[in-house]
Amino acid sequence: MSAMPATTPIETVDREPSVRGLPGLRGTGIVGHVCAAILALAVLIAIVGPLLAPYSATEISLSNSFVGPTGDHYLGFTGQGADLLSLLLLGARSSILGPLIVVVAAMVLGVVVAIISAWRGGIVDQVLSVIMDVLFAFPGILLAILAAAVFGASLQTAAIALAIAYAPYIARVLRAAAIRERSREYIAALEVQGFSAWLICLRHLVPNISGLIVAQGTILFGYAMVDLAAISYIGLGVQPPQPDWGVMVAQGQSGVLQGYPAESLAAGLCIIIVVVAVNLLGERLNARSQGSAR
Amino acid sequence: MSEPILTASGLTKVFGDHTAVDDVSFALPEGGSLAIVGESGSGKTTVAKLLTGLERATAGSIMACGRDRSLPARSAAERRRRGAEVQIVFQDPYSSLDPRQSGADSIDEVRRLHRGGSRAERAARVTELADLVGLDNRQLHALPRDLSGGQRQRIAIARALAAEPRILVLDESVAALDVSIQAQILNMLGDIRDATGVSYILISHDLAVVRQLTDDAIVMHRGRVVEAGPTARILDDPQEDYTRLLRDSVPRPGWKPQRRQVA
Ligand SMILES: Nc1ncnc2c1ncn2[C@@H]1O[C@H](COP(=O)(O)OP(=O)(O)OP(=O)(O)O)[C@@H](O)[C@H]1O
Ligand SMILES: [Mg+2]
Repeated sequence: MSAMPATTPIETVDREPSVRGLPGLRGTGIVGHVCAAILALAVLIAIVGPLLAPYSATEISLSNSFVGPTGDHYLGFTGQGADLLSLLLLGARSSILGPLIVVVAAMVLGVVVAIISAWRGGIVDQVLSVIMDVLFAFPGILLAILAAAVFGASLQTAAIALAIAYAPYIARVLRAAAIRERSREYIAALEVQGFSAWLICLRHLVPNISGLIVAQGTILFGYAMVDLAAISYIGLGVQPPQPDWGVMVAQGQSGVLQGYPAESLAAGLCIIIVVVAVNLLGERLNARSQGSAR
Repeated sequence: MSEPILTASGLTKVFGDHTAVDDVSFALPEGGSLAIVGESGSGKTTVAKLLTGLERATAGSIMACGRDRSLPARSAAERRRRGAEVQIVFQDPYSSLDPRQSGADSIDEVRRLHRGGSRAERAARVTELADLVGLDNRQLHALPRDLSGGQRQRIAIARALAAEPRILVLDESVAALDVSIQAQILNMLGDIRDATGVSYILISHDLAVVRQLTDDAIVMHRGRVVEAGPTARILDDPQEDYTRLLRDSVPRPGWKPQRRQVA
């Protein structure tokens, strides 16, 4: 995060660079590092998957339906006769992008609400808290179904609906941390100096709770991925033929019934691996941000 | 004597149904130093917050540097100007600095807000301020967690002085430090006053500190001023029972614990 302005150019020799910028993986242990590596790989596949995929999603031949692994098709074929490995590689993009949209949107909303609540306190805080409590009562999936009914089913609609449903949860967690941080005397010192509230929040308050923000975002990513897969599974998220792991789980259903579970299993496994990795990492980041709360 | 640089008249602050500060008035002469003493909960910090605009007075007025600051600042320029008039150093060295920011960065940030100047000019000024408060180059560029409480307070003092304020409020600013460091910082504050002409409001429960550093004092009890006058007179010849109690409750060599008669 470049929130800290590059200031005095004097001697910066004995300054530890690692503690500035984004909180890294320090203190998350071997598990945290392995999880981060898995996630990095997943993101890489999401980006370059289409280049890696040996076949396209539309190269379908029903005669290959449920054919097992062959020399050229390492994972065999789906029920519709597409190359399973290619579909997994292609599906990574929307499967990762969806939760990413949810996380970014929910975090922005949640951080803004939390900071306003913490900064203003009093009646503003109370009103915002009530609004958040009402929103909190809506299950994300229900909101996504409603949104799909109104705006039409798509990944974007589902993602935004989930973001709105998750934002209150994020706001609630971050509000407590923001209130704690706001009561610290360095914030009061900045106010007395005459800095504007938004500048103090942007340059000092938010960076000082960034550990928790990153941790919560990571954990949210896991939830969002499962929910989006479920939404796509019931047909209200990503629309086939666009490749997506959630869609694949749904489309593999008929195969499961016929004794060919490969497609559902493979896509489900991809989801599980990413979600477990992201949860384990998120928990460790969270524990660390709590532990380092001076 | 010239016009006081800071005047509080009838300051009152009510929290809910509790009156933390009750009709407090005092004046601080230019270049002078005023102590606020009183037991815990007597309203000293609340007065400091009123003076610095961190809390808004329920009643009463505050004049600093010839301008009224009883109401919240209306513009960014006004806020900045107030920042360049009255500054504060808090008690807790552990929370008074941004944990992600070195002393140099936090002082520079203040310089940029108030005085601007090129990067090199600001850097020179940061070094000057560090010298003034006795910080070496390593300490100046270290993060707060790598510094001792005394070093952190020196940074907090340098940061407060960076805006070149006319008035510095010290709210128990050395209370958390050990005695030898306290003495060093108090001496330093005396030197800074000679060098910069800044006026002090010193909030302390340590009467020895008060005697060393201030010309005048007010004694607060339950939000009210119970005694006011020259520090030496108040400490040597208190007119009020409460002040006497406060003075006599400070442990001294030969002091024996005994039951206190609370008025
Ligand atoms: N924000 C607040 N809300 C409600 N009550 C408050 C608030 N701030 C202070 N008080 C109350 O006002 C009274 C005075 O508090 P203050 O902090 O000014 O005392 P103090 O003289 O600085 O004490 P100490 O020596 O312990 O620092 C206390 O009873 C305190 O509980
Ligand atoms: Mg106090």
